[in-house]
Amino acid sequence: MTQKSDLTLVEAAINGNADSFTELCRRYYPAMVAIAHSVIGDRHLAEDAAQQTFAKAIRQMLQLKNKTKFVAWLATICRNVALDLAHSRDRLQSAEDLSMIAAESHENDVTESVKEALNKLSASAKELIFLRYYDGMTYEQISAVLGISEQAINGRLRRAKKKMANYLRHSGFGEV
Amino acid sequence: MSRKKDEKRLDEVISRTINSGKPEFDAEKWKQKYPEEFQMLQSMSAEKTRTRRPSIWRVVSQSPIIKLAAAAVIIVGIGLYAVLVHQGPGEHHVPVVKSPTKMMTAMSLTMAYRRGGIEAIDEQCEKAIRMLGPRPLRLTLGQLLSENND
Repeated sequence: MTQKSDLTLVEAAINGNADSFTELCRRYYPAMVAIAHSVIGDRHLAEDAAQQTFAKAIRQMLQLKNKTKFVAWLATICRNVALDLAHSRDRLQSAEDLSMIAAESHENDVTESVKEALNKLSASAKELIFLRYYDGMTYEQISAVLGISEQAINGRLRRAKKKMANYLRHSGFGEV
Repeated sequence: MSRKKDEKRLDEVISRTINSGKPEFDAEKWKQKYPEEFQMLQSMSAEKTRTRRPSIWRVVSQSPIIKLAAAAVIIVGIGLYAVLVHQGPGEHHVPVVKSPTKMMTAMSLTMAYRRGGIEAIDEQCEKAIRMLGPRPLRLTLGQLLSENND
């Protein structure tokens, strides 16, 4: 996944090459799903958000100024789409539905605690954890998506994990 | 438990909680779901040429060579304009018909000297004589006086 080939694909897509755009979608779909999942907390909705992101990207493609930052730009669109979907879902879902989901989701205490620990993180830290663990993305790949250095990613990831470990320890899960 | 083992365990727990299989992008399904956008993508090239006209300022600002060339053109243009504006109408070589008498005044001869030295004075005198035309070999006093009385 070199920057040059990304740039070539982006330029070709802007010139109306559908195959190039499809390749970009294939390449960054998991990252977009991870970002959307960190916002929405639902895998299916996250996939919808990622697909909607690509549709929205086409509509705004001619506004893209820096083609080398295509992925970071795509991630911004994805965050906004995911937030919109989360808000409309929250509006539609009644309190009854929420209680049903809560009852269903008591599958595993550890999993529940990890989810709670994740929810204690800031939106950006949560997004970083999802990108790293969703599809085992490398620091280089995450760096391209978030537009920050690998050192910054390492530092943020360490701090996020430390915060999660502390939360889990206080929740009675011993040493994690 | 060692710190390394703790970290490994945390990694496993997070991974188990978050990772629910790698999402795969289904291009065909996406095209069916968003046909309008797909159509828009295919017609992007034509749209681009229609909406984006090349901006001169953008072209100039992007290349340092073009920037220098543009600056040089502007400087040369300003220079030429300044030369044309400051060049008064008297400096143009507009032929001015003077009478032989005026050509032989002290002021006119001084100006001729400044312009081209003694050769210019000589040329001016020749010119004045030519303008007077052929003179009669003999001139009576009456004729001479009648010319002065005109």
